[in-house]
Amino acid sequence: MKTEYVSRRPVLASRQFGKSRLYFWGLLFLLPEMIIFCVFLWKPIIMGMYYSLFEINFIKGNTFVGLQNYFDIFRDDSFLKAIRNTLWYIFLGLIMGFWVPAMAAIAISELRWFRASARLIVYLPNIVPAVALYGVWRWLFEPIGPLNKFLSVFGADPIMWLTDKSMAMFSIVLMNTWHHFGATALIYLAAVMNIPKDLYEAAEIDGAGVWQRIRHITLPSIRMIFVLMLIMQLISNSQSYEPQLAMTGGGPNEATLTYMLMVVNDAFRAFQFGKASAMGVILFTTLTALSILLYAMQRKEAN
Amino acid sequence: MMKTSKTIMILTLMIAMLLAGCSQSTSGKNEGGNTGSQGGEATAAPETGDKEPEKVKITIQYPKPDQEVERLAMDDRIKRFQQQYPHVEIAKSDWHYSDGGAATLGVKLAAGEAPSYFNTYATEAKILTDNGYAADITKYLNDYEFKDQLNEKLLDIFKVDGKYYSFPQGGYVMTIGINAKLFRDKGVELPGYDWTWDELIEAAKAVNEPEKGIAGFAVAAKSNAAGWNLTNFMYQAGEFVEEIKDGKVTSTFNSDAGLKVLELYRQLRWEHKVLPGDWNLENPDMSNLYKQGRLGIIFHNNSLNTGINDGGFNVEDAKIYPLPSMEKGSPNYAITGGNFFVINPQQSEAQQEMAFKFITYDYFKESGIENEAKKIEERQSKNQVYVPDLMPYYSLDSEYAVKMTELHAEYPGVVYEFDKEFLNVFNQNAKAEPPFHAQDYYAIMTNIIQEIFSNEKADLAKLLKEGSEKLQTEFLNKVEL
Repeated sequence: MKTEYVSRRPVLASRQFGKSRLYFWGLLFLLPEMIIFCVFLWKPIIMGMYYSLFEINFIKGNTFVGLQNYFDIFRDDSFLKAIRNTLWYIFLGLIMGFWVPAMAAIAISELRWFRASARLIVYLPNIVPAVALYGVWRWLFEPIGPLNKFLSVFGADPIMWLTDKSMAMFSIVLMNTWHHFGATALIYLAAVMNIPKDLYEAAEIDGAGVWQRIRHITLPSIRMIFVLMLIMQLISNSQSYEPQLAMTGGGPNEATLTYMLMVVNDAFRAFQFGKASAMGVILFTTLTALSILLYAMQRKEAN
Repeated sequence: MMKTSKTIMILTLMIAMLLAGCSQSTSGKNEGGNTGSQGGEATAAPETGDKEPEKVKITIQYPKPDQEVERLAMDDRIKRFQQQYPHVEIAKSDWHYSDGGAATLGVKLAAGEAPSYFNTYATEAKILTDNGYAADITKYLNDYEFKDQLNEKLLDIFKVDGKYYSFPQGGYVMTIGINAKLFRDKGVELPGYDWTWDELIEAAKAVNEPEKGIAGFAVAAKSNAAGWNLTNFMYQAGEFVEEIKDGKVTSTFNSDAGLKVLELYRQLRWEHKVLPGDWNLENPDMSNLYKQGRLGIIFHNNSLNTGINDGGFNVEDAKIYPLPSMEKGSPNYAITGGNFFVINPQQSEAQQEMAFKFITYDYFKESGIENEAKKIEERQSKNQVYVPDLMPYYSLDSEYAVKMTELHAEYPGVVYEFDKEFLNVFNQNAKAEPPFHAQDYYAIMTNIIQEIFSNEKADLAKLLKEGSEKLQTEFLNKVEL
């Protein structure tokens, strides 16, 4: 037994050495990513959780306040408004924007000519820099701007796109949809182009028209991409604040104050970094739970 | 297996060290208070027998790359300063307070990257002093040879509990700009300087043409600037927002005077419809409309530069007006403020002293007059007009003011000449901002203004009551006198 044990050891050792070398190189390649993730993602998340328990002051030092920041959030009148506005923004985004890129992708895939040009045209709004985008759309939304001029042709009254409380969020979603649909459309397009051609050929031989092909082949084939895009849109819209900040500053009277804009205001205008961190922790927890739930549902459906 | 574990351990340790290194760089500053001396330490010079001053390194606020004239002037000042103080090493930082305000400053202080001093505005006084972002410079100011010639009204803005936290660069009193061309084209007489709210409304109505995109009047309705603008009207109505009563700070603006101001705003928007259709504006947005000739009257204290130098108005078409009064004979209160230099509280005493000396190096000196001449000539070279400070850092009856007036007289047609009648009245009723939680009060009023402008049937009394209660319970109750 003893001899056997001794004789196996170098074999095991050499196998483990080979494995270690394999792991070593793998880990070495992973190292930069791990560092970046730790420093720029996980450290801020953990520090955010830590700071949410403190009153932060860069000069005078931090004071431990326990859960006070969380209580302050729930006492703040703007908190519920911000949640309601964010949900409204997400909802409008789904109603107005979710189907647009998929439709554009399917329409492009059905083109026989100019497909490349159409792809480029659809993607162009996405490359407009944010500053120019907000400038142009503020002009479009002006009371005597092009959109209202166009509506006046049909005898409609001018719309106060950004200063009417019921219109302001709608206007921002409209602008955002125009800006971002191109990039999402390309993802859908890639999925559509990967659908085996023989399915379409068989359908055509069977006499299927365009709508039947889309309904029975295209849409079912890209269903998983729909779910993925839905999750991504939910996450991204729940964190939106730049267009609201640039276009309306959260107004009129907090009608476009989103959850993240409230975080930004609390942190960088009111200097309540502790409270802002606590709001970040609440959002992080909610989104993580939501993502887990959606992925679980997706996996269940896939099985 | 052992080697794998070792590898993982080494990697984990490396990451942990990296994280620890990052945390150390900030935690020390968070807890260290004013003990740090970042941005260059005061280090002892080599011993040479005689007492030599310690070497000091300061980081100065350097003009932006497009400010060529200012950069040349600053390089010249650095050279002269170092000739007089050879032990001072000077580093340049082109971060300016306007690049992100107090929020960015806070981050820079936490990271130990803030310059030795920076330029800021009167509206920031409370934020900076409350958060400990401004060093107490009383000692340096008391020793300053020209202290008696400084403009006291400006000095007082950053004075808290008898201590000074800034050095004035120049000030303003809130004024109004009028595009006289619009009035002339319409054949409408300009109002007098002793105008009232009603006359302001009438003047705005006279040039208001919404179908052409021309608004009679614009006042800020976005960001805290909205509340700040409104406070001028509050003062004119006799409402001073806060008072100290029974050892407590009390919100007072839920009053008849406060209601009058909200009613004025309601009338401007819904009854007279003289505001821009897209009324959700702050200062840069209003300036853009004014430059484009789409505003008759602008509530903006820099309207001359905006109109003449940025908008290309003829000098006679850009009029500057004092704020109106509520009714004939009542005081036309106007908020006063300005630009100030604040010294970084994290700097060592030697650095703070040198920063103070550097800031004030050209003040009350011939070199300051030469710099002023360069600025005028730069405007002249661009066919622009130089608008002198209405409230300079020096007292207007000082010797230095006489010299400066003589210099300005050497450039007729280049240096803007204020109407003498205007100069007599514009600052008669200058008043500082509310002393406690001004920014929080402005934020509350901004929401109220936006509600009034977006809802014709807004309940003004209810808004005022709720706003006043919010200021009291959330902010003023926490003030310890």
